[in-house]
Amino acid sequence: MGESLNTLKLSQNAMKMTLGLGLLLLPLCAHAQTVDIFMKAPLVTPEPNAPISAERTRALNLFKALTGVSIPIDDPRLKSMEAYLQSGNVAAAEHVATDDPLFYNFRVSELAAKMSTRDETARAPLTDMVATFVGVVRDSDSIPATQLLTGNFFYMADNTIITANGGTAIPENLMTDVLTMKGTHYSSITKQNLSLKAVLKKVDGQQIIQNGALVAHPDPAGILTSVAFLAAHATMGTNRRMVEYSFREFMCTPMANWADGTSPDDRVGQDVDRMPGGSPNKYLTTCKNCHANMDGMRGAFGYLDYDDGNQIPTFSMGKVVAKMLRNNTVYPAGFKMTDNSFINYGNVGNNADQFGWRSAYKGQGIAQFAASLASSKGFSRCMVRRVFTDVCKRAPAATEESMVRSMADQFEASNYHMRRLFESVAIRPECGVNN
Amino acid sequence: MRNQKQIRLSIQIFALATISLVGYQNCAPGALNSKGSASSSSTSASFADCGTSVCEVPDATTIAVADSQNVLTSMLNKAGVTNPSTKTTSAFAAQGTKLPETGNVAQITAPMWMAIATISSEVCNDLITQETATGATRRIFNSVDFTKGPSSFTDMARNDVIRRMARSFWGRNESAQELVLIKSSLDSSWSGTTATDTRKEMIYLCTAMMSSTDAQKY
Repeated sequence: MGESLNTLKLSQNAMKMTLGLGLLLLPLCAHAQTVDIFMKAPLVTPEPNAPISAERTRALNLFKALTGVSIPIDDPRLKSMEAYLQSGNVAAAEHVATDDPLFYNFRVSELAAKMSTRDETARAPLTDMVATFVGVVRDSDSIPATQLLTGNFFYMADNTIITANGGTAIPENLMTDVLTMKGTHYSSITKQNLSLKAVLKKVDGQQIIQNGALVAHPDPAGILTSVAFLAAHATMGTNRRMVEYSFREFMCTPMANWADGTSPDDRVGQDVDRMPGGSPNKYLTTCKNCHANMDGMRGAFGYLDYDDGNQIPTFSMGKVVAKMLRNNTVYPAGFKMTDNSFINYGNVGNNADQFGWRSAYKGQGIAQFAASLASSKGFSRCMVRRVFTDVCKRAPAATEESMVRSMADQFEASNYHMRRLFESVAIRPECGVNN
Repeated sequence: MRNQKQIRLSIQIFALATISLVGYQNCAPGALNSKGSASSSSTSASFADCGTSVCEVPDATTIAVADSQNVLTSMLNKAGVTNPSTKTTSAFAAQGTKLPETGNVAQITAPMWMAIATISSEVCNDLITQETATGATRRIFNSVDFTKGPSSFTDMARNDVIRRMARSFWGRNESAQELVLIKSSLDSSWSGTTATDTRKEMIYLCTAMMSSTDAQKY
């Protein structure tokens, strides 16, 4: 009897200890969330005799358009989207797709990749620019897309998340692995086939490598000052490409479409011949058209260069870099850059309409230049065009300009919510996906 | 002997390519048109003078195919292959430049389809390896006995496998005509009697269905 009582007491004590330990561990467990960091195909068992509703097929079409990846018709994600569509909740159905890691690793990455190199190819690798674009889309609830050009931050992988969830730590030294094109930080994410949605973290405060040390970026402007964008466009040349590609990528406007022979040419550099082939007419009728607008703005990049040896961007901190003053004997009476000021001459006629500027036409430095792009109507229209082209697999037609403009207005009204922009585009009748 | 095998393989690949290109093209009406067949177009836009048998209707929603970035991931997701083999990833890397960059209909080419067939065959091989592993759950080849020759593969079993693949790869059930076409292709292409032949026949079937237009279109 006594032995039984002792056993009972022991059992009660053991239970109390277990309960106590459980209560103690509870908060710890709540923090130790497991995250699926690997992009792995799920096992979906087909249901040969199950009917396929029209909503299920619509769900598959939407999923493919939004993520860029096809999945089996019996996939649970499609069943969930089907249920939402049947209840008329299209937004919730789309959110299933845009919440999926495939959306970030494929659809969004591909869109950003095309903006990240001179070739504008979707085959471009994952870089700080692509990762930051993906991060901003993931964090759309708190970060408006304008910060793609105005934000003082970048995205990189979080090794804490990676190692806590079965991944191998990737190189993360800012100087040797992240902030140089020589680094392997971003390629290691691809190598491990990691989910960008799961592993990316926002790092506040852009930095550059100056004289072998990390310093705060003197003129941060979102992905415009990402290492990848500068590697593509600030290398060699005279930084005119920085202006040209800023407009190509963020305003969707190639140089030829905003060239304007009526713009003042007082900022056209000394390196531009005013008598090409001995004729001033060629300059006036051809060269000036592009140079007037482009050279007016290139001053914003006056302090910027790119070190091809170390594959890092460099800033001269208040002194115009040598490449901006090269070939100054071609036309000595031309404009000589003395600081990083710029003038926006692309503000009249068709340019005024297509860009819809909302900022001052003069400014200084990359951040102010980028901010003027970000606040323009041209930027929001460009984001609509880019998303439409990727999701709908065709560029908007000229006859659909009113749709582009109305979607751009909605995009701005949503506080530049990029993820919702993808969702809005996919259900447009013009897109042909949700029919 | 090796040459004979290679010749047979070439003939089978040709047959497979023909099936992939000719069959299972449940294209959206008016999306992909033969030049001049304007009757199927839903727009009044004129056709581009592309000088080939396939034209894109300007400003109309077209079909598109998986592009170079997502073609392998799509295949793995559709088949449910969790760990692709090195052969598969190598095949994808080797064929990468033949795949369309954006998937736009104008980028569809013959080498592209051959590249897709090559990658599909490796993914299908992985799928069978995965499903025949000890203790593995069968999802696609439930009714196939890989220890016996193809003669053990009954008509009902064929129907079952084809249905499972259609739902996984095409996102729909196969039509009656497609079922007849696929089974007739199997009959005319395969006459082996060993367990190895069964595996080959399943790779053939899986590859044909996975590399078809409906499996690749967006």
